[in-house]
Formats: sequence, structure tokens, C-alpha cells
Amino acid sequence: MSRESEFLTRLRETFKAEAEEHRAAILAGLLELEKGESGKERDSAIIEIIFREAHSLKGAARAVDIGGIERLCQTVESIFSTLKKGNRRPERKIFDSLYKAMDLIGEMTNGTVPVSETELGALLKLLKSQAETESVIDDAPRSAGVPSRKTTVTMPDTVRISAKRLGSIYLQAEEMLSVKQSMARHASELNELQTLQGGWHKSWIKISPTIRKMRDQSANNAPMTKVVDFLDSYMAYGISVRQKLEVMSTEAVLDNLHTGERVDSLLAEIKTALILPFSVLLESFPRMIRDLAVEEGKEVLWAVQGDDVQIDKRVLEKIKDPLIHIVRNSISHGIEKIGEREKHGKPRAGTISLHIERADNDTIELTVADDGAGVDLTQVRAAAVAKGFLTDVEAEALNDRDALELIFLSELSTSPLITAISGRGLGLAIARENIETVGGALSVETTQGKGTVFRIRIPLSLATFRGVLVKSRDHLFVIPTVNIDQVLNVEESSVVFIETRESIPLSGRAVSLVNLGDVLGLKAVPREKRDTERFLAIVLFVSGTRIAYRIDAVLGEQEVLAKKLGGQLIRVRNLIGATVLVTGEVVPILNPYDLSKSVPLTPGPAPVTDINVTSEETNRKILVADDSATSRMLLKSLLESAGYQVQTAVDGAEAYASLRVEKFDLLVSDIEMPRMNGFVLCEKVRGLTKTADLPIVLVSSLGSQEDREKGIEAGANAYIAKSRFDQSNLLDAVKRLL
Amino acid sequence: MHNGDRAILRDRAKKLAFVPEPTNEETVQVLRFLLGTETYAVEYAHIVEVAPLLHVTPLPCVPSFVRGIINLRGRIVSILDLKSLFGLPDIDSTSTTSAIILQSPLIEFGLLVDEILGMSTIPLSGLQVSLPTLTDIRSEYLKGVTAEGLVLLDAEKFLADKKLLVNETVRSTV
Repeated sequence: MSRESEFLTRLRETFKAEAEEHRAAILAGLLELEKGESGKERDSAIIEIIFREAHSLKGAARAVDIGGIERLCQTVESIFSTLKKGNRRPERKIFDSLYKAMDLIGEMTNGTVPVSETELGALLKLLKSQAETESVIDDAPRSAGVPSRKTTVTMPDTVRISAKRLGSIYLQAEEMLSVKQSMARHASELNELQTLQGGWHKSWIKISPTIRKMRDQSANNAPMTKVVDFLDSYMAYGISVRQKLEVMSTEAVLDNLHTGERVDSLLAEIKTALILPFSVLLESFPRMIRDLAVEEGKEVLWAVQGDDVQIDKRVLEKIKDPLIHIVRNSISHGIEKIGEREKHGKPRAGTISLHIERADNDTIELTVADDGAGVDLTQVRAAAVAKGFLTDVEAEALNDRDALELIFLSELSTSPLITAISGRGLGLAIARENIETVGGALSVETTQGKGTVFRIRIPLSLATFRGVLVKSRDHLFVIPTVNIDQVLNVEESSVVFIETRESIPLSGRAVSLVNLGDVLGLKAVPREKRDTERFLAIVLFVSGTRIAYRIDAVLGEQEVLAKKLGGQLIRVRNLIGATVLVTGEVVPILNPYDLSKSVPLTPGPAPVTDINVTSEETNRKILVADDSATSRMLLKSLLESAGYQVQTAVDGAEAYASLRVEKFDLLVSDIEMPRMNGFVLCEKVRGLTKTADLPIVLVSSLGSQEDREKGIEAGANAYIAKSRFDQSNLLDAVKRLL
Repeated sequence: MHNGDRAILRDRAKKLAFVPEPTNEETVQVLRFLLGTETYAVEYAHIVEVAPLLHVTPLPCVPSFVRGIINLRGRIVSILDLKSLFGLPDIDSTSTTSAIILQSPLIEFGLLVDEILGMSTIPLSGLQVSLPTLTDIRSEYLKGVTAEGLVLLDAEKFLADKKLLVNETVRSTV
């Protein structure tokens, strides 16, 4: 067979399978429609389905050059298009012709019986004429049954199964995971029992010479003989138990192995049944993009790469809305109007490209890039200020990456004040939430004038995931590993207070610290006195933010099967669901996204900026005010060792005098000083135009809440209590502020 | 002898002691249980099973009437605390051993009870439909009270009550 005809044969085979699917869908739709029991809404849904299926079949037929099918489908399509527009049901009498058309299509597909042109022509004519009279609301009595089909029924290679049904099969197969886990548990329990019995056996071996001796001596002692006899039989009994146990234990290990393998392969098989190519999701995109572009008076090209990547249907469903939103967002806010583009020497049409690729074994990365104007960070900053999220100073101090993160704040764009970027915020916040609930992540990069890139990372499949088992106040919880940034053993003394909130320094940034138990509202339990110098914190990374949670213990990481909490608990704040440990214990799974929302986050008086130790710092000049010579020395050497230029003052008044005449980049001041204390100095510095924006770090042994507030009120950017004073704290604060 | 057994025997004795008049009176089978010191009953028809409660996992962020969740052969089932719901004093909660699992096509949950007393057949006609001494919330789930003072709860109302559903989303505190 020549290569070409081999190809054609394969093509025909493919077409046959596809055509059968479309035809089956149309037939099913016709049947339901004819029954007329489904209600108006469902009817119009069916009409839509038939319309689409006919359209798809037409396209497929054209590809393999079967004109008859193409023409029939064209007619069917136009009939249902009319019905769709008129929002009507087809009239009774046309059903027969439609069934006939489907029969003919079946025959032509199989190529079993040649279809004459006359037969085809007659049917087409009949359909058209019936379609034209198709206007009366049909109340005629229904004919019973469906005309029988002439074609012989062939068993198709593929069957349609509803997604819901498949999902339920999958869920049930997934339940087998707990069977697998409990098998493993039984095996290990049997093994334990065996060890226990082994100990018993050893002690028997040890005592048996003594028993033998007893037997020798008990010749004339009837009760003793009885006891020795009993001991012997008991020994024999123990040995038989031991043998039985050995067999059981070995069998359990083997069963566990086999069951495990079978469960895993069953799950893998069913998973593949739930896997679809990404292109399924993108079918509606070109149309949507075209329509939206026209609406906005723009020209947009849509380029897709990698849409053959296969992905779990359930993940695909979850990703659909966020992806649509991001693409719409790129059209509305990314791509400029034609005139604008031409002005900047860009091609008339903007391009939005979607790149899909397997990032690793279980992750897919989607990149949505546009060549539009990019995100105007000045505008974003202004919007955040207008909305009261940040003060002018804070917005100014925010680095570009953090400023860009602001577009994910849900409230940012809802204000009418910032119509220029409206629509961006709210939807993006939801898009990010949707992506994160399936264990994915959404990030963004932008270059002013060049374009914006959204990156979505999503897992290939749902259901089981890795989770870390943690303990907080005697309660166990599972936290999805995907959200865990790191687990830290933190020194209590490294906790910094920003306003009233605790935070810990983490690679140059202040990360909010909260107690997991507090966030979840767990009752505090009396704690035995123990090492209070250090505590455990688990840092979760959600929506671009890190938050550290104090926990009592980390008990390990494991594969977790998430279950719903049952019909009564539809959605519980801070929880995703629950899982059953091998011990049978039920453990709630935490929802990192909810947690992050439950934590009150204040940007803090010190806007957190990324630090990179660069040579720039050598030029930074810092003024240190402290009345204690030792403290002055200490601070000076510390800051100088970090590469700053340092000048000192013995009290507030001297510091103020220096600040009036010289330029400094930052002030570090003690609070209790003669002549002018730190609070007054702060206020004075803020009152001076020249130094109104000078970053100020207050350092004091006054660790009280009141003083901290007083310091903030006086205008300090950071407040470091001397009792918590260690070098890294001050340096962190200084780095953040400069 | 166990209380439940005794109750069953007492019931049997009663039934044998007199010949019931051949009426076509409608009766209903109920499961009687103890909540604190009071005796309640639910219609047997809505009960899927009575599950022993060895360990209930408490949940954070749920209303106080949700005692926690249990694993019922692979399904997670929530356990409701009727005493908390009815505002009864929470005495003797340590002896709690069972949950009555109620089920409808849409929802399933367990009711925490202090002790299962046994089954009874009670005539529907003898039910007094309201009792002024019951608190509001209890009267909401009341099917009736027998002459003996047995409070029959309406399982259907429990299963259909939207107020018992927890469906909470989180708003950002930012």
C-alpha cells in the first residue's frame, strides 16, 4: 500500500470515528427534542448542541471530501440555526426527515451501501421545504417511536460517557486509595505483632532448659508433671501461632504490594480517561477574542502554541474562567488602540500569545503574553493611594514588583476614581483565587510600552496531593505542600514589631507572623514550660504574599487524599476538606488562601522593599542619636560594618542641629535622651520640609505597646525594642527603609 | 442489665400485656435516645445507621453546634450537637458514644446523642403537636410529644433546614 493511500485510509478511519460521535450526539439530541419533555431551556440547549455538532461534522466531511455529508450537514445546520435564532422547537414532521438524513450520513460514513444522488437530492429538497414551512408552533399529536434505521448497527470503538459519570467512577476508584493505605497499615501491624511474638518466643527458648530440668525432677510429682506438660503444650501452641503469624504477615506484605500496584494502575488508567488536550478549552477563544477586539476598536492576533498538551478535565474546567479573564484583560487593558500602536511604531494588530507547556512531571505552565502598553505602575500606585491602601510615601517607596502585585488586590479597581485600570483588579483577584484553589499560581511581569506576561502554573491533576501534617494547640491539620514556602525554627528574639503586629525578617523582607491557633480561633491550651527561646513557624506563600504561622510541631509530609466535609458543611472558612490518616484519624486540611485573608495584613509603617546589598549603600549616610556612649559605639560600628557612613549625636538637640545643616539618608535614634528625646526629635524632623520624608528608626529599651504607638505617631518608620535588639533586626530595618 | 435492653423488654411486656384493639391507626417507628436527662425520639425511617463515636475530630471555624467530623467507611460525616443547638446544658458529654446518622438525597449528618434507648412504635394520633415549654429552636424541629412525654423530633425538618448548613466564604480583612 502506498504511503499516500495508507494515509487516506487512516484519515478515513479517524473520520469514521469522529462522524459516529457527531451523528450519535445529533441523534440523541433529536430524540430528546422529539420527546419534548425537557422544557424550553433544555430544548434550546439541545438545539444549540445539534447546531454545533452538525457544523463540526460538516467541517470533518469537507476534510475527507465527502460532499454528500457536507451538504446534508449544511442543511441541518441552517435549519437549527434558524430555530436557534427564532428560539423555537422544530415542527413534528421534520423529525422524520432529520432521522433519514442521519441514516444517510451513517451509510455514507461507513461506505457500505452506495447512496444515490437522487436519494440525496430528494431528501435535501424535502428538508429545505419543511424548514421553510417551519413556523407554526407545533401541537400535533406525537408519532410513536422513531423510524427504524436501515443501516446495520456496528459497535463503535469509542463510547460517550457523561463527564459526571466518569467523575463519579473516578471518585470511587480514588476511595481505593484508603484501601491501599489500610492494607499497608494491616501489614505493618501484623509485622509488629510478629515482633512481639518473637520476643515471647525468645523468652521461651531461654526458659526451656529449665523446664526440661523440671521435667527430670518431676518424675514423682504429679502436679508438677501436669504443669510441665502444660508448659510443653503451651510452647507447641505458641510455635503454631508463630508459624501462622509468619504466613499471614508475609501474605499481608504481598497483598499490600499487589493491591497497591493495582490501585495505582487503576487510578492512573481512570485518570487518563479524564484527560483531554488543552485545545478543547480553546475552541471558543478565537471568536471571543475577535468579538471583543471589534468592540474595543482594536485588532488582535491570537497565537497558540502547545495546545496539544494533555490535562485533567477537572483542572481544565477550573482554569477556563481565569484564562478567559486574563485574555479579555489583555485585550481591554493591554493591547492599545490601532492609532496608539501606530504612533509608537508597533504593528496595527496587537498579538496575544498563549504558550502551554509541561513545566515538569505534574505541572503545566501557561504563558499569556501581549505586546501592548504594559501596566502603568504610576497609575497603579496612584490608584492604591486613592483607595487608601497606601500613603503617598508608601506607594513611592514600593518597588515595582510589589507595585505590580497591587493589581491583584480585589478592591483596587472597583473605585470609580480609577476607571483607567478598572476591571483589572477585581477579576484578576478572582482569577488568582480560582487558580490557587486548584493548587496553582498566577504571576505577572510587565514592561512599560512592551507588554505584559501572565504566568499560570497549574497541576496536571487534582485529588491527591502532598501535604504537611502540623500541630497547633493539640489539633492536627494538613497544609498543602504546594503553598509552603519554608518551615523555620525562629528565635523568639528575632521577632520584630511593626505597629502592633509581629513579624520576622525573612531574606530581607519583614514577613507577618501570626499564631495559627489564633487565626483558626482555637482555644489556647496551657503549655508545659519548655524551650521558649525558639519556636516553629511555617511560612505559606499565597497570592504573592508570605505569611509566617506559629505552630507547635511538624509531624511529617505525606500523600493526602482530600475529601469533602459532607453535605452539611458545604464550605467552611479556612478549610478545604479533610483527609483520613492511615491511623484512621480524620484531619482537616487547611485552605491557605482563606488563611491569608483571615490574617490582618497592614503594609506597616515601613514599606517592605527588596534588598540587595549593592555598592550604593556605601554612599548612604546615617545619623545615630544616642546619649549612651557605648550604644553610640555599638550602633556606629554595626552600621559601618554594613557599609554605611555613620555620624553620631549625643542627644536629640544635637541630632536636630546636624540634620538642619547636613543631608542624611536615615536617622537612627534612641528615645530617652536629655534635652530632646526621640519622640520630640521625630516630630521636629517631620516638621522640617527638608527632612519630612527622612526614614527614622527608633531604638529603645521601652518595649511597651504605648511607646511603640507613640513612636509611630511621632512619625517613625520603624520601632525596634532594645530588648529584642539584635544586629540583624536593625540592619534589616535600615535596609528596608533605604 | 443495660438500659436499652430493659426498655425493649418493657416495651415487649407492655405489648403482650394487652391485646391492642384492631384499629387501622397510623403508627410510626421511632428510635428513642437520651439527651442529657431528657428523652427524645426520631422517626426510624430517616435513620441510616447508628454509628459508634470513638473519636470526633473537632473543626475550627464552624458554629458551636457542629461537634466535628467522623470517618464513616470512607465518607466524612459531620456530627451535630443537639444539646448545643437546643441550648441544653452540656452535662455528661464524656459518656457520648453514638451518633444517629440521618440522610436525605442531598445531605447527611449525624446527631450526637448521650444514649440510645431503643425502638418504639408510637401512634401518630396520640401526638400532641406543640408544647409551650419547649424553647423556640426545639419547637422548630418538633414533630410532636407523646402522652408519656417523649419528644419526637422531625428528621425531615432537620434534613431540610438551610440554617444548619455551613457555607461560608472569606472576605479579605485587608
